[in-house]
Amino acid sequence: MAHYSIWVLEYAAVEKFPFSVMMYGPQHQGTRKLPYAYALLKGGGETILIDTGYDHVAYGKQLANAYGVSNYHGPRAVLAECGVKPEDVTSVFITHAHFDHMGAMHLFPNAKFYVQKSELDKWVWALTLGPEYRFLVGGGDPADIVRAVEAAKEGRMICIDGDQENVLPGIDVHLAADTHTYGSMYVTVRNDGASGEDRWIFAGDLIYTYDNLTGLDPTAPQIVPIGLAVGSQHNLIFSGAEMLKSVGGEVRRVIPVHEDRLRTTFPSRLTDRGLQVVEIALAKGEKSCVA
Amino acid sequence: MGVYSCVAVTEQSVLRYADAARPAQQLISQTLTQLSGYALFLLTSRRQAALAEGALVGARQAVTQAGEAVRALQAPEPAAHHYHHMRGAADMLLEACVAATACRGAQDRSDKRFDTLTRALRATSDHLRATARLLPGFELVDFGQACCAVHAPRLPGQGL
Repeated sequence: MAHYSIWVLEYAAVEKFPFSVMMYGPQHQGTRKLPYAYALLKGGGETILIDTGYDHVAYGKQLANAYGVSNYHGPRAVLAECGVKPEDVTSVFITHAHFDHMGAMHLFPNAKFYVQKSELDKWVWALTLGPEYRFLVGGGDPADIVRAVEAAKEGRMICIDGDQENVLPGIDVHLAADTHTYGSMYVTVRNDGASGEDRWIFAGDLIYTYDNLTGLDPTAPQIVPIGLAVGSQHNLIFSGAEMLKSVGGEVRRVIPVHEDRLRTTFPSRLTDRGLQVVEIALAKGEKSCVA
Repeated sequence: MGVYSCVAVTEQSVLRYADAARPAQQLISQTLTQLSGYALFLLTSRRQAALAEGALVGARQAVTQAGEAVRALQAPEPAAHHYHHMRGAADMLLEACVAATACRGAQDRSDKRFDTLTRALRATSDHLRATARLLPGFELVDFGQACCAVHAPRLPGQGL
């Protein structure tokens, strides 16, 4: 029986996102929908998020007008689909410091935040470089570092240095250094509480789509990195391999939150607001949110 | 005709102001991040904070430079509100720098000096956000090269 109930909750989307950014190489294969989403876990008295999403107030209009991000809804509306309020969230794992993953820390006033130390260290360093280095800070928001200070002052910012097991019961974190970002982190949920088979990995942006783990030719599978990294493609490929090995090669267990096909891989429901709720696992006694 | 000339002159003066103000805003933003990073080290890793003393020295110099740059700006009437927030950001950045220096002697995060520091960082950040909201070209986040917004379609006339 699962220890945690797990959902992936869409909160906005880019309807037509170039596939060549999701996967390095296919420059002429058009666009796909790119959902913006975070994962919600409930179990053992904990309400956990993997990533926070972003706050529309700060730059939502800019994103909508200039970059085609549509249908944004804040965490109060999104989490309500699973009967959760932002104040209920006890812990948040931040996979990396991009705006759409770390940009709403202030909306979860009671949560502790777990992030890789090297991610914050190197973002701080990169954000102080001159404008000619702005490629290195694309998607990073100085205000998020200020929020991290505020959380640290309240004792709610926990910097993790590398891999760590059982950060919370059955939840391990792993550093994927110099990949998509400087200190990207992926999260393993051992949902049978042991080292057993019911294992899910939340990949952050180490992969955008299952295709990153399989390639596009089913007769010759390969790992193909995403199309954007400040680290190396080499490191992205090997972190992909590591995640895949950890789940015994079962691709669907490595969850890319930006993958639109999650809704057809797992039970799902489209909400009245036009957002997908994807149900990965249900703990004992938990009611389905997609039935 | 006279009215149109006036508008053109005003627009030119705002453009000149924006050209001069943008580097100052970038310097304030970079220094804010530097001070925030130092504050994070103080709150989460004393050893790292000791290693980052050089960054604090650099931040002090940048704060002075930013203050001078902002005071040298000549803001035309249509940019007065923007300039108000530029001044506010520079002033609060100076407070943050002083507070960060004072926090070196703090024993733990409950020390009141951290309250002063976080308030000054927050106020600087809020002023910067206002400058980004009031005039185009002052955006603080580069979405143009952000992974999840990059290459997404831009509407005509709304490029960054």
